[in-house]
Amino acid sequence: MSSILELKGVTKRYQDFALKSIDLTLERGYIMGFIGPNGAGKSTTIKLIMNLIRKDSGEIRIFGMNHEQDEIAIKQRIGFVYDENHYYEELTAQEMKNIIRPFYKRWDDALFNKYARELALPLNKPIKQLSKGMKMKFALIVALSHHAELLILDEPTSGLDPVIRSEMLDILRDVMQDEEKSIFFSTHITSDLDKVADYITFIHHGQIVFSHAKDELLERYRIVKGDKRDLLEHRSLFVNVKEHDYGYTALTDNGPEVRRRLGDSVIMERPSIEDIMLYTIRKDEHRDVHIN
Amino acid sequence: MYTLIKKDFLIQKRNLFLSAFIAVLFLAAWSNVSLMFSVIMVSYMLVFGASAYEDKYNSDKLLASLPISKTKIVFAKYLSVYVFAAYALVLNGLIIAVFDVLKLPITIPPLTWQVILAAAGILTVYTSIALPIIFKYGYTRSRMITFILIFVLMFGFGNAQLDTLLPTSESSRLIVLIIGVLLLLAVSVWISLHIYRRREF
Repeated sequence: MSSILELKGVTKRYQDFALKSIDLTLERGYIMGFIGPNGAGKSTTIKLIMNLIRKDSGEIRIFGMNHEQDEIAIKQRIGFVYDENHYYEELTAQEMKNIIRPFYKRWDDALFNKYARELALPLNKPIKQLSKGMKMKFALIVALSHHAELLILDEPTSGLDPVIRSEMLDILRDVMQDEEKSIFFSTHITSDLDKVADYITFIHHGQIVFSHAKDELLERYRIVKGDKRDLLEHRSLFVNVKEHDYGYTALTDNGPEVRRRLGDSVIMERPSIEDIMLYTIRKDEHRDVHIN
Repeated sequence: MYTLIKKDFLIQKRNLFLSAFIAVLFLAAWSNVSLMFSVIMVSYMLVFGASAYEDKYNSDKLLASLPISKTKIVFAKYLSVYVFAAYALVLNGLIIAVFDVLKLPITIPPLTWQVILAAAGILTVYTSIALPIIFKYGYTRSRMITFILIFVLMFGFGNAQLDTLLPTSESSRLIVLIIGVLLLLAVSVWISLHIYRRREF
């Protein structure tokens, strides 16, 4: 069976920014976290997947179909949540829902009402009077009410308080009980992914740095603390090194090798996804520092 | 397509009320062509009011993400012009009836097929020019051009009499005129489709 989402060599060039040959694959039944700093290309990638912008080259297949030729059939099976509200704010949630409903063949009003009750969404208030968290909940409920097989979420949790974030994540976990579904979830709040993601794809400067199973990632990567004397010889083992008066702290993507070469002279800790992201991003900045 | 047009009405509850005042104003202020002007102005206000809301909330991105073909979105927009014009016509009819009942000293030319045809013609010419611009640049960026254009068209025809506008005596000229306007509309739809399919959101 084909992957639910597949990008092969996808490029998109702007005057001041470019996505360079994006490859990624998401299988059915998994959540992929899509991380990277602001401006790394997360939203551009999601716009390409949703066919809101045209790619320069490469191939995008969703449910095994061509994302341009079969656009409408694909979108019947996609639920989306964007970082900003795009609904007509003059309308109430109920009115907005009634506008969206006819477009989806598999719209399920009972399901919509169930989620609206669970998340305490006020249906009869104009959307503009809802808090940011409520607007996001509404968008999520709409995305979930037509039995979508693939959810595309672009920074759905940014700017939300921890309580609402955790409520939203609970719902996503609940959705994933169905093993036929997948979620593609972009965020810069990596702690959300510690809880729910199966795969992590990291994009930086328009390029995929890695795309791996989260467990494998957390197994291979290690924060290493050691003495500066070892550093010269073994620097190549590290993704990035922070030096300080007493020694260094570094990130390696090859924990076992560090252990083999440096043994007990270093302390090794499991990194969080945020650690991995931050060390990798600062690699470019720190290189200059080391040369001096 | 029906839902898309219904949506254009729903999001403009306030404008629908406001349009009644505009209609009263136009009916009371002008004489000869006031009814035609009123129908055109109300249609203009509602068609572009819908686009203004779309721009304000960036809802194009929402529509483009839903399973709706871009062709339908474009067709619905053109069709909405005539649905709004029909609404404007009914609205004006009602207001004239109220004027009548109140015996207000305002004389309004009767609603004839010439008035309807002239209004439809001017609206068609107008939207044929304006909609491709809006599909290309969005409402906000093209609002100056579209605003100036409606007044050029209105005042251009404002001094003309309905008789000279529509040569009722010569039906062959009228048919040529209608065919010309319809051709313009077809070309406009074709251009809009081309633009909207390639638009980036």
